Amino acid sequence: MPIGAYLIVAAAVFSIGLVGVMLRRNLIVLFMSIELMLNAVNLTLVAGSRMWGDADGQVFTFFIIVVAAAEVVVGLAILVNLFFRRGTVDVDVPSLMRS
Amino acid sequence: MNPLLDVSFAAIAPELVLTGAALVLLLVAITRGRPQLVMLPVGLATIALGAWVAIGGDLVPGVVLALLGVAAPVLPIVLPGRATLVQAWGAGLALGAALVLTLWQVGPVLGADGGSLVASASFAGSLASDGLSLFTRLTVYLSALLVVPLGYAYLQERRINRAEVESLILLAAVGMAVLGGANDLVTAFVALEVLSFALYVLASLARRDRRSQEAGLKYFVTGAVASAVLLYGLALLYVATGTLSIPAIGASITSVLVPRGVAMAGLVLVTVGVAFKVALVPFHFWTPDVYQGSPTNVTAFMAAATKAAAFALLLRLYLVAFPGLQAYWVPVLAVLAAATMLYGAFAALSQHDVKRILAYSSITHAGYATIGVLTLTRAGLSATLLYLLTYAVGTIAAFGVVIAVERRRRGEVTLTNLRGLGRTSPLLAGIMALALLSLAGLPLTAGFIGKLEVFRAGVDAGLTWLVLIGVLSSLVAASFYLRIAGIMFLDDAPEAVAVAVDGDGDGDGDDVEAMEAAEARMPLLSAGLSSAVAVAAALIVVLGLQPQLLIELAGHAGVLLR
Repeated sequence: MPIGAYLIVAAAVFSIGLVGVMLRRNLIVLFMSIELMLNAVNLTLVAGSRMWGDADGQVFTFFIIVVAAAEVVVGLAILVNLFFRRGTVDVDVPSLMRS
Repeated sequence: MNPLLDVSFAAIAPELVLTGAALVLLLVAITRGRPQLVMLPVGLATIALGAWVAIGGDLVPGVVLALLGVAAPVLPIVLPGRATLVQAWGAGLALGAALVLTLWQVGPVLGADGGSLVASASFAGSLASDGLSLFTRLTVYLSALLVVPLGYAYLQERRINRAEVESLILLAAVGMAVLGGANDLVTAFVALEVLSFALYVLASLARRDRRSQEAGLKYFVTGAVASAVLLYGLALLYVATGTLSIPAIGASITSVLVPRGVAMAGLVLVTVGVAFKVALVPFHFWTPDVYQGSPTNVTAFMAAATKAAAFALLLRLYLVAFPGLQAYWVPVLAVLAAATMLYGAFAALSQHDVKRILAYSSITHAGYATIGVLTLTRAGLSATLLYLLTYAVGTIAAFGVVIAVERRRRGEVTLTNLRGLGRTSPLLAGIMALALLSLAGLPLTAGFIGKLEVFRAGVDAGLTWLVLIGVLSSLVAASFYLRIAGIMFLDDAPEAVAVAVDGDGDGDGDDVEAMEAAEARMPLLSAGLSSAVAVAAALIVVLGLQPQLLIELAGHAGVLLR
C-alpha cells in the first residue's frame, strides 16, 4: 500500500478528533477526541518514518504516547475535581467569568 | 562518535539544579514535618558533588552547588515548623542558582566572536545554546524568582499553598527554559508539554474556587487541542522533510524533493498551534478567562514566563525552520499581529476586572512582539527578546499590586476597587501606575525601551504599516492605562457611596462592600510581596533609565543556531 494512503487515513482520524472536540460537550468524549488527534499524529509519524527509512519518527511516537498518558492524568484530575464541585462533566455550564 | 555519549552537563546545568530542587522539595513534603530526613543527606551529597565539580575545574557551578548543599539542611533549622516557607525559600534559592549558572554558561562565550554570542549545540544537536536560549532562560528564571515570593502569603491566605506549588513552578520553568533551547521537534514538544502540564495544575490550584477550576479546565482543553494541532503540523513537516532537527528542516524545506502540499499543510497547522500558544487573535479567546480565574500569582507567571517560552518556540520555528517559506507566512502572521494589537487594545476598554484587563494587555503585547519576528532580521530577534524581558518585568509588577489589593478585598479586583488607592496606599498605587506606564510603553520605563527597539526593527525591515498600527494600538492602550491611574489617584476612596459590581453572581461581593471602606485603610503587604514588587518596580525604572547594558546584551544575543 502506498504511504499516501496512511497519511489520508491519519488526516481523516485527525479530522474526526477535531470535529469531536468542537461539537461534543461531554468532557470525557472531549478527552477521547484529543486522544484521537494525538494517535492520528502517531500514525502520520510512523508512515513518514517508513517512507524515509528513518527511525526518528518512531522514536517521536514513543514520546507522544508517554506525554498523552500524562496529559490524560492531568485532565482527569481536573475533571474529577470539577465533577465534585458542580456535579456535571458538561462544558456548557454557564461561565462564571464574562467580559 | 557514539551520539549517546554526547551528554554535556554544563549545557543543562540550570535545568539540572531546578529539576533536582523540585524533586527534593516534593520529597521534603512527604516527610511530614521532618524535613531533615531528606535535607541532610541531600545537602551532604550536593556539597560533595559541588566539591567534585569544583576540583574538576568548574569553579562557579561547584561553589553554587556547595552553597545549595549547605542551604538545604540549614533552611529547616532557621525556619522551624514552617514547611511552606522552607519550600518557598528552597525554590527561590534554586532559581537564584539557576540564574547564576545561566550567566556562568554565557560568560566566557560572550565576546569571543567580536562581541556576539557563539551558538553551539549539545546532546547530538537536540539542544541549542544561543541568544534565544539565553534570553528565554533569563526571562523565565527572573519571572519565577519574582513570582515565588510574590505569591507566598497570597497562597497561604487563600489556603491553597500546598506542597506541590513550588515544585510545579520549578518544573514549569525547566520546561520553558528547555523550550528556549529546543533544537529538534521532539525536544520542543516534550518541553512544551512539561510546562503546559505544570501550568494546567497551577491554574486549577484553588480546588474550592469554581473560577479557578473553570480556568484550569479551559486552559487544559484549549492547550491540549492546540498542542495536538501543532503536533500534527510538526509530524507533517517530518513527513515532508524526513528530519526532526529544526535547522535541517530549514535547510531542506525549499528543496524540490519536498512535497509542497504536505509542507504547506504542516506550516498552516504549526501556525494555528503556535498562535494558540502565544494568544494571537483569533486564537486568543481562552486568555481572558484563564488569566482571570487562575490564582493571581500563577497568572503573573503565565503572563510573564509562558509568553517568553511560547515566543521562543515561535522564533525558533519561523526563523530557523521556515525562512524558506517566508513568502507564505509573513503576510499571514502580519495580519494576525495587526488584528491582535488592535483587538487587544480595544477589547480592554470595556473591561472592569483588573486581571481581565491585564489579560487583554498580554494579548496586545503578543502582537507587538510578533513584529520583531516578522522582520526576519537579527535586530528584530534582539528586539523581540528584549521586549519579552521588559514585558515580563512590567506585568509582574502590575499583578503584584493586584495581589496586594486582592488580599485586602478577599475577592476579585475590579476598577471600582482601585478607586482612591492613591490616597490609602500611595506607594502601591505608584507602583501600579509605573507598571501600567511601562506596559503602555511611555518613556523612562523599561517598556518604552522594548517597544522602541521592536518598532525600530520593524521600520528598518519595511513593516511601516504594521508599526503604525502598533503605535495606534499603543495610544489606545495608553489612554486606558492613564484612566486607571486617574481612578487610583483622582477618585475618592470607596466609602459609603461605592456600588459593588458583583460580577460572579454568587453574592460574595456586595456584603463585603460595607467592611471594605474600613479595610481600605490597611495595607496588606507581606515581606515577600513587597520585596518582589519593589524589585520589579526598580527593574522597570533602572532598565528605563539605563537601558544600554541590556540593549547591548540583546544585541549580542541576536544569534540563532542554524
